[in-house]
Amino acid sequence: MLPTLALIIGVPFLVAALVLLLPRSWSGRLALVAPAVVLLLAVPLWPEFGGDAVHLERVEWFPTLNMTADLRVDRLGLFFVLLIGGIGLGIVQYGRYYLGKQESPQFWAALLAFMGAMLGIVLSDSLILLFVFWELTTITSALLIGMDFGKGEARRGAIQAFLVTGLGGLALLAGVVLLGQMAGTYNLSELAAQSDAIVGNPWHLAPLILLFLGAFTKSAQFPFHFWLPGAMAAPAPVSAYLHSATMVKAGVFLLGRLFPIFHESQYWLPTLAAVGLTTFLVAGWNAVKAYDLKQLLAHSTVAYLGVLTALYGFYSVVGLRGEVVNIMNHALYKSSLFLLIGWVEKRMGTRDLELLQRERWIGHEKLAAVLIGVGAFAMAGLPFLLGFMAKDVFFQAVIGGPTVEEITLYLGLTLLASTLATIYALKVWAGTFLGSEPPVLDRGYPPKKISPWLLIVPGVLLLPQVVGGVFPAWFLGTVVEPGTTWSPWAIWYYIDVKVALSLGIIVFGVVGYLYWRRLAALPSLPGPQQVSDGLADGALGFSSWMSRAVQAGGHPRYFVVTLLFAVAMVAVGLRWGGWSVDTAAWAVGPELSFGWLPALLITGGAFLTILLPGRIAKVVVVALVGYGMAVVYVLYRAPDLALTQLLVETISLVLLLLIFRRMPRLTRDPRSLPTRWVHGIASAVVGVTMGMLAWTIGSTAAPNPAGYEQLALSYPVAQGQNVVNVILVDFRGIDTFGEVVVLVIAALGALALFRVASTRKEAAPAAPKRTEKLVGNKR
Amino acid sequence: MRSLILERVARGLLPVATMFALYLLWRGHNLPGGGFIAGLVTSGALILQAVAFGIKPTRSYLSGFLRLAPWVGVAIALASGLSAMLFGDPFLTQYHAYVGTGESKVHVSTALTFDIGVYLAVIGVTATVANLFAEGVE
Repeated sequence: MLPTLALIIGVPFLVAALVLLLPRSWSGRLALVAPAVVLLLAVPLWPEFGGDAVHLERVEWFPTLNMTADLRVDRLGLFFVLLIGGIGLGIVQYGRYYLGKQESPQFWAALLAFMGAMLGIVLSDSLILLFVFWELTTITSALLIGMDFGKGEARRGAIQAFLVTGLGGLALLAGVVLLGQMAGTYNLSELAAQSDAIVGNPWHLAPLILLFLGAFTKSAQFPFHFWLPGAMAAPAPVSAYLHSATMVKAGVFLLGRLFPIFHESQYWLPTLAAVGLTTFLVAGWNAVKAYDLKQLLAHSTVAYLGVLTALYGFYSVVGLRGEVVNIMNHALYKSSLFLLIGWVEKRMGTRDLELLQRERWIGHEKLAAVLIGVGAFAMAGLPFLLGFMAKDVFFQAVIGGPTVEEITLYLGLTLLASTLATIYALKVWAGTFLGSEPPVLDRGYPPKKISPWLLIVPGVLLLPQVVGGVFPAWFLGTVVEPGTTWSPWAIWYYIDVKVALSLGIIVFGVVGYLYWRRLAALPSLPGPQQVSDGLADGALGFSSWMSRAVQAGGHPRYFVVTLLFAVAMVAVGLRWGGWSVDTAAWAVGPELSFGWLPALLITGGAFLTILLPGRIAKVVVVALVGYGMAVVYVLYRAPDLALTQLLVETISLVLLLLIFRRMPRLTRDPRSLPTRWVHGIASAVVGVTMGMLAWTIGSTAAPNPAGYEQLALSYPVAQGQNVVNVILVDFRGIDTFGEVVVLVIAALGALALFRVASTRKEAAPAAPKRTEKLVGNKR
Repeated sequence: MRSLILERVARGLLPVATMFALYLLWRGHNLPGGGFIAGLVTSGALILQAVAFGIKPTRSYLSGFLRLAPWVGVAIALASGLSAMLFGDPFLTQYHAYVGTGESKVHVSTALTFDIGVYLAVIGVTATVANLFAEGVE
């Protein structure tokens, strides 16, 4: 099983790399390979994983840290694999004929890398691995939204999406770490087994909140619902794939993964129900108000994600049932609608309902009218479509609530929001096709110029909607969840309260839609949208103020800010950790009778640096401080440190001399008197605090020094007598390796900077002047 | 400016310094020394060459080696770490063995390979940066 899983995750990444290497004209065709392979590998597994069957695949990662890269296959994960592969295949085929000039190897590479990352999320059993793939989807999705980076709207959408989901990702990481520390494992399967112990611990609220933040930001739940409409600058296939079918469902998927661990928590149902239903309502209202078809779909996606979130909340009472149907329903109709709106944009030349609602397109584009009709009616949850079944599942969950009061409240919200959903669904279809004036046929491309694939792909994606709606018992019981028996739900079998609710909503929706049509404009409430916009603007304003204050562009300011911050941290530690200026505990050995020598070198060097004029002189006397430190190491019998210190000091002295040769001669201090005072006081504060820290550390014996263990282990384990070197190459070898890599990267950075600087100097002879100005900067 | 004394000293010092660096590298596991320190010693000797003979001749002699050194160093360190995984041990597990018997027994360790990688990377990085900073010195 492991090779299959590795291939499913790996093939999209491999093809992504290939696409970048091979000729441009191959890239679209090549991109088809990845989802096709994923489907070929995953489809045969589907019948094997009915019900609760779980297959775990152990993969060692960092055994000492309890971190694994375990993979798992179960019904939910495999369902997502099929969704990602199936819709992915359609999206790639659609994209090849839709993108035109926007098509590039980079686009396909980003899309395929996203696909791989998404597959990684749904097949991970290790939460750490899941997090890694989660962040990869954030990065690749920002790349895809901002693909058209010439446009300000695209850049803004990409940055906003990246910030919101990126911050959520950090919360997720913190939550994962907390949960892992609490339970001693990062694996979902093992966490679920300890569910009782975790929920029994009152502190489980902390990781739960953080994990929820991760899920809510990814799935654009209230109050983070604003980023998804902003992300609609992406081309239609990206919106259909990332922002309706897969990525935004990752948050819901995470809730599904957390369900077995946390569902018995007293916070689970109220939080998810409140957040989900609020999102459903708020986003539904935004969708009703929207005039841009794509924005409308974006808001309606957020609304449905709210439904799914609330659904997982209700499952804690009624038990898991039909979540796959709901996710499938939405993924199918919403991605097809996004793709169809892409077609509308091409054919009708606009996606603005203001224009379209006046024109009568229905006679001219019958096939598209049928397809958009199926999609929109599925969105409204009309009978004979899978959407109707999905709504039935949702109602069943809502009316199974814990108490009568809660059922009433949740049901009321659900009914209101569902009515809104019916209204905007009707708005999509009727607004696009049922106007009164003859349409402007030549605003978009003529039908012959548009590839038929732009209608075939959404048509295929909508097929399960119809099949599942007409033969629900067969479709749900055999294809979607084989092994489970589904009562033959369909209105021609029986009528119960849920069906009555559904039909009632449809009636309300139609009335609401007609009423809305007669209103000139809806009142724009100062709703949560504005509040969140305000919050976003506030955050941006604050961060730009912060950047201006801290990143002033001159070294003096950087130094002051960095040092004072570091010293503030130290001061906090000293204040609450206790500090001492005790000298009694100092180990004054005989070798310290030479202590005056380094003391003289260090203090002398420091004072001379301030007093001597000229850069070269200053650099040389600064080296005195370093050599003084080397003497200290010798006195304390640390030959390795002393050697290193001497060599580093010497070589950096040479390098600094080489650099300072290029700098202009020092003139009189250009700083104003107040600035000099500030700098002086800052220096004094830093010096005194660090001095106190050094004194405290020197006079307080550490209760359990790390060194003894290393000393004891050095020879028996690593067979080396030089414990410093043993630590460097053996005990902490991976740290050393990381440092070496950082060194090489730093050298590369220096190389790049010098290249840029020297080409600039050649291009503009005035450049050195600017450097001078920056050096003498005083802002 | 050329100085006869400096040139003689630098010429004589390079092999001595290199031998000393290799000695530090070799004995690092048991006595003060190791890849980082040895790399710095060699870098110091190379910088001395550049000071004595000028940057240009030094560069033309050594650039082929120095350009590759960081990459080869990282590659060696990585390979030494990865090779442990071939035997089913975690990344960067080091192995030890004693070759020979009695007085002539020599301790060999894969840690030395890793340290050689560090050594090369340090030389390469220092030389690259020094070379950049010395741009324009004749």
